[in-house]
Amino acid sequence: MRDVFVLGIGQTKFGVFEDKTGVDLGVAASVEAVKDAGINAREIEAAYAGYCRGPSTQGQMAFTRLGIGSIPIVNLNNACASGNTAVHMLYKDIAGGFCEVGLAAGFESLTEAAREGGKGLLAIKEDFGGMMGLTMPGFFSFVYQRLIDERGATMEDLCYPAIKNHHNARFNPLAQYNKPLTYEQIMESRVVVDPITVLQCCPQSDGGAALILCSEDYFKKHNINNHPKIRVAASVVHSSGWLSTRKDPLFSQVNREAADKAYTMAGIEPGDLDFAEIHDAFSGEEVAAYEPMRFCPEGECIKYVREKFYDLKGKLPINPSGGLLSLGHPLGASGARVNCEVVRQLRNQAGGYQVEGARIGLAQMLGSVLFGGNESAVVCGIQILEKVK
Amino acid sequence: MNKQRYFKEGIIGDRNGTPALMGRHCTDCGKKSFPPTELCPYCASDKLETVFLGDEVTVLAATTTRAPVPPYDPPFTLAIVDMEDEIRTIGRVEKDEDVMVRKGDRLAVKFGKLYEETVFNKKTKANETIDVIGYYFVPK
Repeated sequence: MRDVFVLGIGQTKFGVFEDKTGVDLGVAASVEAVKDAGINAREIEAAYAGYCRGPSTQGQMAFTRLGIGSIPIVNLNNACASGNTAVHMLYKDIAGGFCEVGLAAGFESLTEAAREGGKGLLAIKEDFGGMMGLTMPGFFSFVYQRLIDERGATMEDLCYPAIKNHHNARFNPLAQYNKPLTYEQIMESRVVVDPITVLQCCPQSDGGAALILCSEDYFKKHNINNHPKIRVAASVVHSSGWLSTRKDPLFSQVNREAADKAYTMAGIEPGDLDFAEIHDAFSGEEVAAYEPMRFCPEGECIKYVREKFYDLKGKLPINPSGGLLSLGHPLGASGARVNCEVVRQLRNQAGGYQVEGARIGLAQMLGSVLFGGNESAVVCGIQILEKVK
Repeated sequence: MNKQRYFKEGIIGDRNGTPALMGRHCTDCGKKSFPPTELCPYCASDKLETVFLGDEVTVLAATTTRAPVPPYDPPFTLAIVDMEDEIRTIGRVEKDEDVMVRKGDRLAVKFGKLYEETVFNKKTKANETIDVIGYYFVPK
């Protein structure tokens, strides 16, 4: 195993783009990543595309428009963690010595998907819970209920991430929503599943994000844009099993196991993190992630929420970019996007949402979290990136 | 009478003339599981036998969906429930809207129509309505 570094990032604005396909957005992000890396796209030796909706081989459709071809191109669907999975597969190629430089992209147009499949709450057909009407907000409403029952959470506590992340997004030009939200606005919006209102949910959006990863030798020779050296300190894709999906929705076992693997791989303690970008599809979901991800001791998530520990200026900023709640959540894109966000912070390029002195950041996405036994297997993708000398 | 089908095969069986939920019992590790799987979800053994599960459950959490989720119309309530032998699963709660369901409540397991679906019958070249049969819970 050898070290892997980030040479380039690219990301589109996230939002609703009626005239663009997911492939278009993947192309835009990838072109930007190649330019940011300062290389010719034909140097790329392997490419991965993460997306969830639409036809096969969208990666080939996108990357050939950059002049990339006659190389292995692999398409991945790993739900919300598809982008992290693309990064992970490329990481393994480079760490294992199979190639020197490659491209990992995630992209999606949920506007395009809605035109074909309809919009709104959809139960997943093969999922045991889905057959009885369980949806994503339906699952997370159970998580809310458990936080209320077992941690004494109030609705103010559970809306903290929505308020915080929308505040952070005021400074992010790539976010779909740049306006702050008040607790009253959130609670007055339409109820989807008790007690989750629309403004506690991430929007269904369009976007693309891409990264160029490379070996240390390649970085030294080709870093013509003089980027800071950012190492992939850990890369983990971890799935639940029967035991983890059967447990209490209060505590995501797959988040805990994936996070522990990542901390071990990076050789760090959770307390060494300067910030994290994580899956906040629903406001209370972020609160529920603090304990399994070891962002606070077990049983103390609400205490930390009330101390505003995770604010942009707090001890451990979570989702300084504005998160899925403000960026929107184009499924396949988000896992690549959180990696781009971490790189932007480590390069000190995050502008108004910069975490001061950021040196180590974590990018996480959790995919497919319905409840129903082994048929609703959950996947968690985590990367830890570190600025090195 | 409409034709009927189960919402999922292998979940509901006949126990002495009345329907009952079916799970698995692993004779290697001794654990029970639901819904049934091909190998033991705990130890991957193939020494599985089918067992009938009880007709009462205890609520862990329950919430009500206020938006349509085809084929279900809102509002409808779902609950995560504990059955015997550490089995935790999910199901619909059929109840009056003003009845609250909370952690610790005991519910009875019932069987019946979850929804209707319309399918095209190739033989008769006509649409027909099918009752989709499943399980649900009711307050005791």
